[in-house]
Amino acid sequence: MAAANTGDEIASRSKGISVILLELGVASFGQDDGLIASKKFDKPIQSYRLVKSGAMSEDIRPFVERLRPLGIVKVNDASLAAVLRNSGITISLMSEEQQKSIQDTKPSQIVKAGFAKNEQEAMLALRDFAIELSSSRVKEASERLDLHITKSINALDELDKIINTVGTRMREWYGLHFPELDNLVQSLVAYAEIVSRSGMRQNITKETLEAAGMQDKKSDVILDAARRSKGGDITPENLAIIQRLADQVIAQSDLRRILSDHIETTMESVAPNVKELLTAAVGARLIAKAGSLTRLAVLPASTIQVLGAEKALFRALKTGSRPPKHGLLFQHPLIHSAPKWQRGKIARAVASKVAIAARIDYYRHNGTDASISEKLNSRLAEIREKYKEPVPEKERDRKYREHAQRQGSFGRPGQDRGSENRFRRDKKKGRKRFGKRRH
Amino acid sequence: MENEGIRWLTVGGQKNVATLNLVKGDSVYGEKLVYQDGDEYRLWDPFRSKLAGSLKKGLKKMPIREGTKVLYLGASTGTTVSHVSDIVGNTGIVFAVEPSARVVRELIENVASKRRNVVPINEDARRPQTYFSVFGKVDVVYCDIAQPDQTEIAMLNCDKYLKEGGIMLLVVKTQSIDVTRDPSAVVSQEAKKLEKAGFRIEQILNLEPFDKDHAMIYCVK
Ligand SMILES: C[S@@+](CC[C@H](N)C(=O)[O-])C[C@H]1O[C@@H](n2cnc3c(N)ncnc32)[C@H](O)[C@@H]1O
Repeated sequence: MAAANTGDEIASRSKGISVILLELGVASFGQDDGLIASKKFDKPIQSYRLVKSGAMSEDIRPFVERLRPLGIVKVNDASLAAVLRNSGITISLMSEEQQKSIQDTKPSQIVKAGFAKNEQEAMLALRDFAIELSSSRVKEASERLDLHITKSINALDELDKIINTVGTRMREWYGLHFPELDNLVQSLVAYAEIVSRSGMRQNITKETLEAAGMQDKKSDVILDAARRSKGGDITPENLAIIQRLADQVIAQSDLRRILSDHIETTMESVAPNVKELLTAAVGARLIAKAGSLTRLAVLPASTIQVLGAEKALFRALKTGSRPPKHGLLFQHPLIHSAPKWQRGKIARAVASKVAIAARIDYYRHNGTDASISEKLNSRLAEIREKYKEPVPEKERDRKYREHAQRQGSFGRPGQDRGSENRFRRDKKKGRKRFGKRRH
Repeated sequence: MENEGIRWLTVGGQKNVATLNLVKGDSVYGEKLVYQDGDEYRLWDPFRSKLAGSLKKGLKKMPIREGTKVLYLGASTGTTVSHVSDIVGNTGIVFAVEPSARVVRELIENVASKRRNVVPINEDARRPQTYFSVFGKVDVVYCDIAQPDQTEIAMLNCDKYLKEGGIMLLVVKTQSIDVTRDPSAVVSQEAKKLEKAGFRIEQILNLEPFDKDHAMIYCVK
């Protein structure tokens, strides 16, 4: 290897060493593509899955430790990247092209890493691995993974909050030093990468920006802004803390990605039909809200329709105000992008199919049943056709007023005057807000 | 059309397509085994496999032959995969993607554990970056997943794994895409998408009477 030239030391070093995750182990290669070190997994399925979930597998710890003095390393897999990062190793993810070319030559990589004698043997090993990994998933599918889905999706939502809070704090703080960056970089993670890699705005370079995933043009704009920045200076102590915050944002986002992949995979094996109808995330939230897939499978469609809107539902029961049309289902793109007057109907159609899907997933356990989404599609087409025009606002208001009056005159068990009054007040306010005339 | 692994046999006065059995004596899903010139063939039911249906309906060229590398999306329990495995033989390979763990169990038991050229991949075809054990580019992508966005999913996979000039066989289930529209309109809409993405359409087959509202699109990347 040629001696690294001083100016671009980091850049050239980062181009030098690559670390590759293969099904059978991990390997590092130098600039000349020569093997530096490799470690075959002791138990491939177990270790590979651990690494894929972003966790250190003990058998590769010594291998990882030996990477430390090598500076920035390029990694072919995002999960392995997270593992290395958590061990304090500076990494950058390979470009998609590079990742592809490794995938293309996988058997030869396996041979080069010393995990197989020849490509023939490597291919057989890959196939055995595929059968074993798939079998281990099959085994898990029969365990109560739906309970873990609930925990996963809750953790995901919490993580989002953390990333946002910490990220916003970091952004504001670093903004005292480099206010212009705020408008130039939308993504919190990209912002954090820049802060973490560069530190002071004077130290931002094309290389650190590239490593943070910035496009060429964008980099130029940022560099220019850094030169002209109106921000104040910053002490090393303050900067160090901001960088620690940035590292948190990066680490938590790694975890978020792994968690969300994990939810996808688990939903696919536990509740493929619910996932199919709602996407993995919304499906998982619904299972979490119901408590388990078992519970979801016995709930009537009408309950599923308003899961997650309990507050509004109880208010409606108590006061006779408009019942909620949708709870969690509102997050479904179909409902959320439909015109307002169709939403209730679409929510009802989706809910009734979700009820069927949950039952199939729970009782039949047998992959996706395309006929559910087909039926939903045809029902949706019907709704779109039949309710092209909005139901007049007045008509709906009249219905609710009549309903409220009936409730009012006959009274309702458990309804006290207080809430009735409150209801009247609400109603009045509502009128004022929408500027409707009294009749 | 006749290539190494495929043969047209006349059984009971009917012309049937069959594949040379890679695992002697093994019937995968109850199909009949027949013998011809000392070789064992598995009858390939066009009502159970859309690829056999396509052959019966006059697929012009059969892109899958001995030694072909295939990425198969929507492998299910392996009915069609097993015949593809027969055809590509021990010099070819079939990467069989199927997301449902429970279905994969049968795929492994009935097909992959007995056929060394089948690699089961328990992943969702929407996320081709997660496939494990796949290597290199493939010659053919076969897609039969009955999803509303099946064409997009298929193209995503071709982008990542199909070699330049490689062939995609796409089963279009018009019911999965839009039940309210005329099936042939849906098929040509999907074909347009492919052309826009740079695929060249070679042939479109209507799979009736073997499968209602299904078409097979043969295209080249
Ligand atoms: C119509 S069946 C395929 C039958 C199979 N091709 C045969 O001929 O034997 C559709 C299969 O696609 C699978 N599938 C559904 N969504 C999928 C997805 N996103 N990725 C991969 N496979 C999927 C289903 O689980 C199901 O097994």
